[in-house]
Amino acid sequence: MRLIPGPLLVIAISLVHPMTASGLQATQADGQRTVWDGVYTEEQAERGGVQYTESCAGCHAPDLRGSTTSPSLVGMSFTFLWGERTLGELFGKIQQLMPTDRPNSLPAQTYRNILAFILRANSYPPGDQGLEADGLDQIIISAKPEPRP
Amino acid sequence: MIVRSLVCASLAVLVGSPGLVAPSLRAQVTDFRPVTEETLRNPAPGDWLNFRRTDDAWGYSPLDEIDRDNVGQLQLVWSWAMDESGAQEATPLVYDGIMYLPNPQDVIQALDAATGDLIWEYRPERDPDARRGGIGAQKNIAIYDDKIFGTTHQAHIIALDARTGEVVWDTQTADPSLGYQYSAGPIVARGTVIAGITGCERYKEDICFLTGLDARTGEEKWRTSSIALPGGPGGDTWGDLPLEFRAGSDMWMTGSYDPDANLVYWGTAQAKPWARSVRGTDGDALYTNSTLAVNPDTGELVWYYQHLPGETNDMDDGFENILIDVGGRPSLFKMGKLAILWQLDRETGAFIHATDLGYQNIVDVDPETGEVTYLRTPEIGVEMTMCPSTSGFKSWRAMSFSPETNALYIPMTLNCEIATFGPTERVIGGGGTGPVRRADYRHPDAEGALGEFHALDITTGETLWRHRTPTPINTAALTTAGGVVFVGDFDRYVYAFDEATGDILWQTRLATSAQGFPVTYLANGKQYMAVPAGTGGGSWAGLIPRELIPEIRRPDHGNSIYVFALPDPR
Ligand code: HEC
Repeated sequence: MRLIPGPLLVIAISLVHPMTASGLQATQADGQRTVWDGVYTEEQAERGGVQYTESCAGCHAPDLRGSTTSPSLVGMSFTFLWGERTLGELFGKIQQLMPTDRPNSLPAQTYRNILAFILRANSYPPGDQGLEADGLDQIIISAKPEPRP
Repeated sequence: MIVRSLVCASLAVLVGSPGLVAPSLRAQVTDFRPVTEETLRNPAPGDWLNFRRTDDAWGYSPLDEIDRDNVGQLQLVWSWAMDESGAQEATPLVYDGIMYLPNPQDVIQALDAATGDLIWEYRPERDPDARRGGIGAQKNIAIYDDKIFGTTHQAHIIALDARTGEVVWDTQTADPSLGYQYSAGPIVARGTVIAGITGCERYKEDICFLTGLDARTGEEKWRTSSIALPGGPGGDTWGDLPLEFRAGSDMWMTGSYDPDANLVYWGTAQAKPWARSVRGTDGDALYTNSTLAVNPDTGELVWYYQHLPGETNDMDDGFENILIDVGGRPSLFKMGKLAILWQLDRETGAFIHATDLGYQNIVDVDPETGEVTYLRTPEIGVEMTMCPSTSGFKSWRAMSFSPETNALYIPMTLNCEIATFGPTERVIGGGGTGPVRRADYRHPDAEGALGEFHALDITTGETLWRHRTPTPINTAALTTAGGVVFVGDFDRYVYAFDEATGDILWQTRLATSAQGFPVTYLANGKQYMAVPAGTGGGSWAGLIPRELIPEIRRPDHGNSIYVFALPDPR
C-alpha cells in the first residue's frame, strides 16, 4: 500500500475525470491520474527543454526522434516503450540510466523538468501544477485521453 | 557560426578559413618530414601511421623490445587527460616521435610521444546549439604528406598542417541538422582522403555515402552511395520503398586498403529501422550489412558481399576489415555482432568460409556457402529472446592478427536479451532504429562472465585460448612481435597476455575504464605502449555492465591516455 501525501491526494482526485470504463474506476480509487490531466507546467517544460539540449539531445536528437543508438522519445516509439506505464517508472529509468555516459548525474529536479519537456513534446497538455518528487507513480502514461461521458 | 551558415546540401570548401579554429598553441613540430605514399603503405616499424598501423588492419606491431620475458616490468611513463565532452574511442597516430591524438568533439593534439609534452592543439569553436552529450567520438585520424586529416561530428572532413595544427582546408560533406555526422575518421590512398558517414537512420531525402576528397585541396572527387537506389542495380532489394525510406547502411568504422588490388574495403551497418517488420520490406536491402570494395580513385563499387541479407535483429557487420593472405589466397576477415568470422576473397568478393564461435542463436550459417537462415526474427510487439543482445558480442573494439600464431585476438562481451521490437512513423524525419523494449541477461555459456578475449586460429578455426573477465573487454587488441598481446577492460584493467598461451604476463589498473585503441611505437629509439581510457559511447561501456553487473563501478568520466615503457637500464 503506497502512502499518498495529503495535499497531493486532493489535487489528484480533483483532477480525475469522470470515467465510464469500469476497469479504470479502481485506478481512480488509488488516486491515479493520467498524463492527459495537466500534470506539468509550461514553465517546467521550458526549463526542461534547455536541460534536454544540454544532456540528452546529443543522442536522442534535438527533435527527440532519436539517432543511430538511441530510441525516439516521441510519437509511436514513446507510446510503444512507455504506454500504460507510470511516470514514476519512466523517471526512475531516466534517472538511473540516462545519460548513458553519466547516469544519475543531474539533480532530481532537472530530471523532472526534462520529463515535463518530453511530455510536452508528446502533446500531453500542461496544467497548473508541476511534476513533483511525490506522486509520479500515480500518473499513467495513457496513449489517449479517457473516454468522457 | 560558420558551420551553420554553409549551404549544406552541396559541397562547400573553406580554404584556411579564419575564425573557425583557434589553435591555442603555436608551437611547431620541427624537422617534419612529409609522409609519402610509399611511407604510408610501408610504415617504419616504430611508427603507427594508419588506424590499425598498416593498411591491412592487423593492429600488429613488429616491435619486440617489450617481450614475453620483460613485459612484467612495464612502468607508467606519462599520462594525459583528454577532452571530456564526448565518447572516448581514440586511436593515436605516431610518426617520428610525435603522437597525434584524436579527442572527442573533434579536438586533435600533437604531443611529444616520449614525454607527453603538448606541441599544438586544434580545438574548433563549439556551436552552442550543436548536439551534445555522448556524441563526438573520433575513432581515428589519418596522416599523409604534411597534413593530418580528421572527420567531425558536424559532418566535415578537415585537413590540418601536421607541423602547426592550423586548418589547411575544411569541407562539409552533409547537413548535420539531418543527423549526419562522422564517428570514424578517414584513410588516405593515392592522394585521396576517404571517409564514410553515419547518422543515416532517420528518413530523409538523402542517403548514406562514402566520399573521396583530394588530399591537397579538400575538393570532392567522388561520392558512392551505400544504399541501392530505386531503379538502379539492386534497387528492388528494398521492395517498392522510395528512396527516403531506405535508411541505415552507416559506416562507423574506417576502411582498409589493398594497394595491389587498388581497393579500399568498407563495412556498412544494418538497414534502419532494425526489424524487417518495422521497415516494411523483407528484401535484402542492399548494400546494408555488407563489405564494399571500392576503387579509391573513382569511387566505383567493384564488388560487395552482404553478410546478413535483410538483417533484422540489429546485428551489424560494419566493423574492421582485416586483410590476410591464407594459403596464397588474398583474404578479408571480418567479424560482426554475431561473432561469426567471415572469410572472403578480397579480389573478387567471393565467399570462402564462415566460422561461428557458437554463442549466437539468431541465424544458421552454412560454413561452406555462407548462406544464412534466420532462426528468429522480430515481429512488432511480440516478445522474443536472442543471443546476443542488440549490443552484440563484437563491436568497434577491433581484433588484431598475429603472424606468429596465425591467430586473431578478439575483444568480446557475452550477453543475451529479452526484446520486443516496436513500430516507428514512416514519415520524413521519422524512422530511426525503432524502439525496443529490452532486458539484458547473462549468456548461459559465459559462466558468469561478461568479457571474453578470444584467440582464434584462422586456418583451423580452433580456439587457441580464451580469457574471461567479469566486465566487458573494452579496448581493441594490440599484437606485437614480442609475443605479447595487449587489451583492457571496463573494470579499468590493462593486460599483457602471452599470445601463444593466454598467460597473463603483466597487468595494471587505470583511473577509469580502458577504452579505445592501444598502440605501440618507438620514440628516441625506445618502445612505448599507449592505451586510451575513458567513458561514453555504446552499450558495452554503459548499459550492459550497469544492468548486468551493477556492483562493479568505475568513474563515469576520465577520458585520458596512459603510456608505458620498460625502465631505463641503470
Ligand atoms: C550517450 C547517449 C545518450 C544520452 C546522452 C542519453 N541517452 Fe537516453 N538512451 C540512450 C540509449 C542507447 C538508449 C537505449 C537503451 C535501451 O535500449 O535500453 C536510451 C534510452 C532512453 C529511454 C528509453 C528507455 C527504455 O528502456 O525505454 C529514455 C526515456 C531516455 N533514453 C531518456 C534520456 C534522457 C531524458 C536523457 C538526458 C537526461 C538521455 N536519455 C540521454 C542513449 C542516450
